[in-house]
Amino acid sequence: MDKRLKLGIGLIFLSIIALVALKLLSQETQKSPSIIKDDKNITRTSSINKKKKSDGKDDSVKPKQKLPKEKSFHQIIKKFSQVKLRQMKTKKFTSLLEELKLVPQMVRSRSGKGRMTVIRTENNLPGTRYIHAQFFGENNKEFIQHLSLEYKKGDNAFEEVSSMVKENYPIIASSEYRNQKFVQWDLDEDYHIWIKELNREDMQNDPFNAYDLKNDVGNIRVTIEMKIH
Amino acid sequence: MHKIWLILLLLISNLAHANEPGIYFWDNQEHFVAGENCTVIPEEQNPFRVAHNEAGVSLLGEEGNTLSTLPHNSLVKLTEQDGLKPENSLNIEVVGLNSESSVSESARTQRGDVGFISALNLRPMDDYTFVLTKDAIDVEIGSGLLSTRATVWQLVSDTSYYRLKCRNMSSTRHYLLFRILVADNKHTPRAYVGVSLHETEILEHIATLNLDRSQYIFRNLMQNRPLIEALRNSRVEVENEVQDTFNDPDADALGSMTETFSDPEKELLDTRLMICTQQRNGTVNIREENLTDIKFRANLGEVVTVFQDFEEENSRTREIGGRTYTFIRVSFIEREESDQTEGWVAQSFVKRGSDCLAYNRYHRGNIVTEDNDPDRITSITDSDCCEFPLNNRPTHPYTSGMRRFEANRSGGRRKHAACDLYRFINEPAVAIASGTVISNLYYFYQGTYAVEIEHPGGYIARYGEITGRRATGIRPGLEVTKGQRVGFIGRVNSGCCRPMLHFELYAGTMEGDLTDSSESIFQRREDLLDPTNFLLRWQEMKF
Repeated sequence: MDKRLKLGIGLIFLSIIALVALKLLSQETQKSPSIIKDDKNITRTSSINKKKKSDGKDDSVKPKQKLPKEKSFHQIIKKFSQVKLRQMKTKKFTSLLEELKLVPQMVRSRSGKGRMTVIRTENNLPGTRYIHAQFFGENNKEFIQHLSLEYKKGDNAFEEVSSMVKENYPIIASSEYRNQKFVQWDLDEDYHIWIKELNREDMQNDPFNAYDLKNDVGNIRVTIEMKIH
Repeated sequence: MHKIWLILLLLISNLAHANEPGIYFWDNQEHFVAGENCTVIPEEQNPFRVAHNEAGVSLLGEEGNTLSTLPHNSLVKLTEQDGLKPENSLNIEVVGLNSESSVSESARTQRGDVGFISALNLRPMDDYTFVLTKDAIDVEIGSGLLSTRATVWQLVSDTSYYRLKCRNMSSTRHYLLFRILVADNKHTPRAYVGVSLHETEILEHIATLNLDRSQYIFRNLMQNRPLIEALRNSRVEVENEVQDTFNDPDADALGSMTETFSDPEKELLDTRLMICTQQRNGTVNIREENLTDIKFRANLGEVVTVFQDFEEENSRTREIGGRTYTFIRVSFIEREESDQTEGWVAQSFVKRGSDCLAYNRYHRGNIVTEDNDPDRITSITDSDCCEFPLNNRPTHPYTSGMRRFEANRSGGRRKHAACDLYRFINEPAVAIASGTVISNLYYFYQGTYAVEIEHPGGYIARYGEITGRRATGIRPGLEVTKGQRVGFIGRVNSGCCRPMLHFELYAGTMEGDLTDSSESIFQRREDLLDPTNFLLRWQEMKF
């Protein structure tokens, strides 16, 4: 065969090979997760592939694991929210606490010419403490005036609590009042709920809760109360 | 300046040496504690000052407002506080009030008040002496040898102050040395007493002698006489949780007391948690976290709050003297001692005041009679009644805007049931008239509190949006006098509003709680009154 012909055929052959190689290479790039630098994508991709093989649903985003304190708080707030505030009586409240194994303690005292009942607990769930409720009145005229508890401080404690409150209580979003480390929402005409990151002034002279004024700064208090002001 | 250590000389205190001055240090709970193996060290610093101004000394808030007035020549101590402060002023806490004073009761500063005083009004303590008045704690120094009332106290300040250091005292505290003199012998001190910045109750009720009068006393003193060590009265540490250090003549009677309070009676009593011993003068050990070391001792009736631990370790047990005790961690919220405010105590010694027989037996509180309440009235509608509930005019009118009675709340669905009296945080709120305290402090609104008092004629006032700091003598069942402090102005924690006293008034003609969740537009009991005209009249009378 003529030399030039052989060369030409050889070049064409090489070109074809090169083209094929290029094509193959680009396909590999699309397929292979290892080329992607972001590990999350890798995980997600793998998850997607796996999941698609199974039930076809997309659960690529795993639910965030709740911390023990979040679980505690969620457990408490969920139970409390099952009873409408207007219908919350000392007996009912006490039984909710007993279900949570918190050993309620009730103290009665005078108010006006009536009665005030304070309910606290001997026990507390991890990451929470100082459940405190105040009821005025007696028997069928009883009503809850104040309910509060505390949540252990942490990096996102305020947001965690806010999120769980919104999840469980029918807050009126348009009523929101917020400033640094404080947020409040109306629940209805008579009650509102507020969340505060406690500072030293908040804790000083509290006649019910014991505080270490250095180490307890930053704990979160949640309070449901009557609009009494 | 170089420091020279003085080494004490002598020992022994027995009958033969009964006239030798003993050395003690003061403890608010245990009173005079005999010092063991003491040394005396020159000290440059003295945190005590005398507040000097014949017209009275203004105790200022952080914004320069006057919280109250300190009688001329009262005793204060310098403190550290964060935050704002008025120019050229120093942070102080009030230690003792000079009895010779023309400042009115309602405006007068009280022991334990904190605030700021102009540096120009503060003098060194060195040039004064202090006589403990008839209202001073009535205890004895040294096993019955000397009663404290009418003793004369002088800070030892020859070439420097002196710090007392004894083997049986806290190593972290500094005790400044005082000479104690008696009227019949001004030549020789009867005792030397170390007083710490943290425990000054012995100096609460004083008559201050100024420089001229003090110099007369000074001339009679042998100032250079060496300090003499007393006592080798070692106190034996007994592993009993309760120390009954004094014989209580009522002990037998108390021991046989089996009465209990019925529920309605209990509701009238103080329901706060407190230290409960059987003996009037018994003390309870407050321990470190290891439950072994004793931090300090606490007395019957000291109010506590109980810690809850986020990790649920709320109690611990330990065997002491063959008996197993459960210990809980408590906070002492009303103590002067900033270094003795929390510790572990046997749970059996923490009870509600309503459940503590000894407390209710020995702590009757104020009894108001015509002698000590010359303004006794029969009703708040009397022409010479009452006292405006603040010591200064409100900064804003309470007859208009959101502050007035009947102002709209919740978009008009509810009406304001009070007058809001705007002032500054921590200023005292005072009783409008004599009366009886109905309630303890309780949570009121956005981190503030309220207290209720029944006044003559059956009228009830609710003093709301005050701080959690309890005013002296304010607990259920106790009587108050007109102008007596009932609380301190607070500030809601949302930051929305100025500090204020939320003042409600009721005729007292109905039963039930003051707050009523019914359909009433005020959400209050139906005998709610409009306090506006009452307040305007009282304001005019007062200012």
